Amino acid sequence: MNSVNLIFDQRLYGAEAIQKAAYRGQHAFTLDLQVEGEAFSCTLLGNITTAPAAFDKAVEDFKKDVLDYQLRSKLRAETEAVRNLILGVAFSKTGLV
Amino acid sequence: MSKFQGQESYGNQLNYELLPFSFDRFNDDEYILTNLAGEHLMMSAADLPTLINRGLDPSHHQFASLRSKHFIRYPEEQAPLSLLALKVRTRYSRLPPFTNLHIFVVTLRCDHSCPYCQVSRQMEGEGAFDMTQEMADRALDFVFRSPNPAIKIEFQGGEPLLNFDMVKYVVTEAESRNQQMGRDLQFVIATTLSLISENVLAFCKEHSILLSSSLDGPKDLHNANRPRPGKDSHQRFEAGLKLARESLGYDQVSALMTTTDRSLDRVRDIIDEYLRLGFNGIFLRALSPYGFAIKTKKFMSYDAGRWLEFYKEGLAYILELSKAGIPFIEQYTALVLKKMLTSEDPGYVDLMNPAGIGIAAIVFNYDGAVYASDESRMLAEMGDESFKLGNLLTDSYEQIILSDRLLDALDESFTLSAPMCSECAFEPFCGADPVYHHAMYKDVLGRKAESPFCQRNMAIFKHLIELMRNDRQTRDIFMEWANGC
Amino acid sequence: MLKLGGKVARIDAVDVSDKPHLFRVSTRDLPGALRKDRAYLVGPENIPDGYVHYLVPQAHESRVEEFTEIGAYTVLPPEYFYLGHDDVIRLSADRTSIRVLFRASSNHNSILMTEQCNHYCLMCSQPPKSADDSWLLNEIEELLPLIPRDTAEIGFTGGEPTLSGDRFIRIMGLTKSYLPRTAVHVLSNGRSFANLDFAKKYAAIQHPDIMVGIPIYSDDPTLHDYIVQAKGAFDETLRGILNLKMLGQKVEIRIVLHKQSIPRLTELCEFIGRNLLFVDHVALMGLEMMGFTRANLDVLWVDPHDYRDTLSEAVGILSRYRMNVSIYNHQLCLVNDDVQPFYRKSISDWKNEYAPECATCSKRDGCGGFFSSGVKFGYSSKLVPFL
Repeated sequence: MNSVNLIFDQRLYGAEAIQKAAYRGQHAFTLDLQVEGEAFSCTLLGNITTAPAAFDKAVEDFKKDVLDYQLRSKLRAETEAVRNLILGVAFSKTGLV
Repeated sequence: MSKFQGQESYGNQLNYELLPFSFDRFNDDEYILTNLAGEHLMMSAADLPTLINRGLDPSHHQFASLRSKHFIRYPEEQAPLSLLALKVRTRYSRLPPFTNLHIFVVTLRCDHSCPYCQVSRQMEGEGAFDMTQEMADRALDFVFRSPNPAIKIEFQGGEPLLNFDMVKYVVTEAESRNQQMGRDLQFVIATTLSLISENVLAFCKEHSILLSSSLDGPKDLHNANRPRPGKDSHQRFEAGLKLARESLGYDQVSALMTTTDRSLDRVRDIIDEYLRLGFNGIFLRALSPYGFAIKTKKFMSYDAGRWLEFYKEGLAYILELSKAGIPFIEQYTALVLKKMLTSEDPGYVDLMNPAGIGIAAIVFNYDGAVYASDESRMLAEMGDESFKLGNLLTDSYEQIILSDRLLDALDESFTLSAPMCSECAFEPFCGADPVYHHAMYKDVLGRKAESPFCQRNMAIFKHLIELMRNDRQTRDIFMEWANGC
Repeated sequence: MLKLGGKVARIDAVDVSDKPHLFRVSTRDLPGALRKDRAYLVGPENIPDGYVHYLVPQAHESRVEEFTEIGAYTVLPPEYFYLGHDDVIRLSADRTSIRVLFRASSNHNSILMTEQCNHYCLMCSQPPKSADDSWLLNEIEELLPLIPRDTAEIGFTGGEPTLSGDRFIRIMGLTKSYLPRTAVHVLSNGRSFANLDFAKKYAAIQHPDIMVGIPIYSDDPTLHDYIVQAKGAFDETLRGILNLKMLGQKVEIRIVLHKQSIPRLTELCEFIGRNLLFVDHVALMGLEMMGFTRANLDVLWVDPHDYRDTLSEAVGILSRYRMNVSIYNHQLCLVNDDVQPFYRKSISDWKNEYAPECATCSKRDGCGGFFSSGVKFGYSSKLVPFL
């Protein structure tokens, strides 16, 4: 069974981003997440049905996905207000809002 | 002339703001960005973090498009917000009118015994599996409770023509009630055409009823998929088609295909058959996970991969035809393109968010049971009644529409709240399919990372975007399809 | 190009009245009751009595001897040969200058409301002036009752017609009252309608057939603002369009094609398809070589022949989005065949001419030709007559 351990510094990466990225990779592995000091220790355990090549690709995607989810979090926070504004305007005449 | 200012005077500040958008990796070098309005833009992987960190220079070659597609704006600009709101409102404008499609299952009796059908019964005596007048009346009460100014009543079965008296009753009764209700009423009969007659056609003509039939491909494929006594489903279809067109009008008869394993290697043959019989489009449907497939757990991603090849090959052939001046549409693609290239929603029940169950379509079974969708009915026939919302004989409109089963399913499958979906760049083009995911995973959301629904749709979205950016003629054809359906 | 205004000769002395006069022209005799506010255009026939004024074309100058009353007539230079029945002219107070305000035989009557403008477009064919010219509005109020009731269409232009605010609204209302069956086309940058109150006043007129033609030159706000030389113009124009459509008013989008607008023309058309699908018409217009255009030729001029494919693509996009599209002010030999369904022979009949190359062309009648300014100041080097 394939397995890889990755360390993420907590000052740079959030747990949410790691979890979301792991959710996305479920077709290939499961995540075992531990806190060790100031870091997250991620053990990715390949699924029984996942071939080694597919697992490696999934790990590579996982690392990219963690960064992507960090960025999404930043984007979401910055645009929260204007998103609500737009939806509010969009539904302003329906009598539902 | 000194009175005129240069372009520098009208822009170029560095203080742009981000508008809400999603992104995903499109390939190794690029991201795709999308927003609530379904606009999209490709950006290099290197530029995206700069954009989000608000460091993108106004001289960047995509800066103007980022503004005009409403991914960024300057703080003093109001039009981007108004336009985004308008586009979002347009996108969701089918929601307030509520249920449009009402399916009446008038009988389960059928002259065919297609292996992929879960519901048909042998042609036993009448009555056992037929809708009664009382059911029909109550169903019509239900229908007219929908606030939608446009109502479509579709007859299904089994084979509805085997209980044509009930079809006639519902049509005349609905029209009678509609004199007070004033809706735009439309009728469709889903029929194999094998039992069509002058009698039936006369009635259909009188009431402008559309016919929706089944054509799985050339004779050998069609008949293998759709057995009936006499092994002549295709021949009867073709004969019935001719009669129906002559009587009702050429475009009043449409055809849908069911895709099976046998279909996967024969997409060109199937399209050629549609061409031969004069249809101007085809709906390349996905493999159904219900019934036989689920029971045998045969439905794995292997099949999903093969289906994608089937779809791509079919689409390529259709584009060839279109470029050669033979107009022909792939209808699933057209629906998706409508979402990608316009602010409108095609109202396709299986690709909507919130899901189309109940709120866009609803099913009245012959026995009075009310189902959230046709797939919900199929699931019930296999023993799982999770999407049976109630019964016309015992439950009121409010009890059915406000049932926990329906509301929970809608709520829990809502894409904007779903893991992976909520931040997926393709969400504006996609939808929720709670019945499918429940059938596969016993959970309305499923795990999208493993779901063939997600893989299939994401692959289609990427494929269409790739086709459009590589070939202008394809883009033009797609733009035509998007605005036509 | 027809001459619409200028000096006329005075032969007899006249008391200078204190304001100019508007007259409806008659070329044929009318019942006595109708003669008192009309000017009779003298020809070879008998001159009837009772008209308030007489116009004597230079060719018939000898007939002035028939007039006994002082101040009764004006001699017209030959450039006004085109004057016809029901035209409306203004003679200055001292009768030394004439302006033709309305031509009954034309499909393209355009009424100037003001020369003031809050834009300064690089290609403006009517360069703005800041002087108070509200007298034009007074004159329009006098003109409207004189325009024939069966006139099919009339246009209002400027400058920016809506700058006069309530007076603009009043005049649109009067137009509806005096000419209830006449279609009205207003050229405006649309920005005044960003003020919802103003937009509502406009909508309250409930004119049965009025459309505002609003220019948008790019999907890039910076580029649009540069072309119209006004910061914030794009944003306010869009807000004006949205208000107008929200109030159920007809809107046309006008795009002038030149070196600045051509590079992003297809992006603009996609923008219109995505965001402004509900506008009633999109007009793609050729460049007029008048006014500021000549001063900014280096940033504006591009040979239409060179952008023919871009034009085809742009029209293709708009028509696929099921929008109404027209191409104005282009020559037939400079556009691709695929835009034929959208090509309009459109140059105002008082402005159009043909180039020498056009002499042998078999499609002259279907082609709008050029603006007179175009023939004079520059046109495509790739004209090819159809055989």
